Amino acid sequence: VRLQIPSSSAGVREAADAFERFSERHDLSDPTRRAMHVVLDELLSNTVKCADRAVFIEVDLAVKDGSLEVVVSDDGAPFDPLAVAPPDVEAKLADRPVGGLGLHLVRELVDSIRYTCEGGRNRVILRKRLDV
Amino acid sequence: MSDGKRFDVREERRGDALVLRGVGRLDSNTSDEFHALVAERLRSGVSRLVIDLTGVDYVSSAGLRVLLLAAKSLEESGGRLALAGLNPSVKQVFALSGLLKIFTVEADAESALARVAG
Repeated sequence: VRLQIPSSSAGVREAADAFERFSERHDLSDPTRRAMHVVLDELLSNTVKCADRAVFIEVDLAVKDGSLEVVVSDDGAPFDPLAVAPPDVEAKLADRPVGGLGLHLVRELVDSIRYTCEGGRNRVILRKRLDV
Repeated sequence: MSDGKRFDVREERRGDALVLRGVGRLDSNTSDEFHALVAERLRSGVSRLVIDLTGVDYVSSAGLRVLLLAAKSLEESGGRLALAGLNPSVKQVFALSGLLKIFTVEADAESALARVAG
């Protein structure tokens, strides 16, 4: 399934709705479905937030070889989500920034993640093993 | 959930405590509205707050931000916050973010109410 969404909060919502339908069709388990909802929300909202112009976002969803494969691509400025420093998750409440958790969650919730930037497009390739 | 409405909040007063029960997705699309509601209730003097997530399917970092802001505000004002009803996926997101050590988390709203009573 390929989704093409605008770089707006409406686009992020559209992607979440489409992923929900995809999950039902492929009978994804609740843990997989919920984890991937979080991952998509983080990546797409980040792209929308950081875009300094209208960016063309594509999301490819596929189930193959016992895994869910998700590719999120956009034609915004190059941005490697893997290069972002992890947050300090041990800090106590008063020292906690209220942001900076999103990409950390993405990295933790999938089994593999790769980033490429080719032909003016950022591509984040994610894989999550499906529960047996 | 009705079409177009992806997150709902029901409010219940219990003595001097307020219980907010979320239903739906707490993500980048719905967190601003939820934040506005929580901030308004805290401004109006609520100091004992229970946020019941039993009906919440998933919470992304945008939702965590709202909960952290509420926790910080209540810590500063000497109030109390307890969360209830985290499903295993929501609990995992909290654990990965180091938030189970920060928040008071109970299985259900009644237990959470007991934690904020005083």
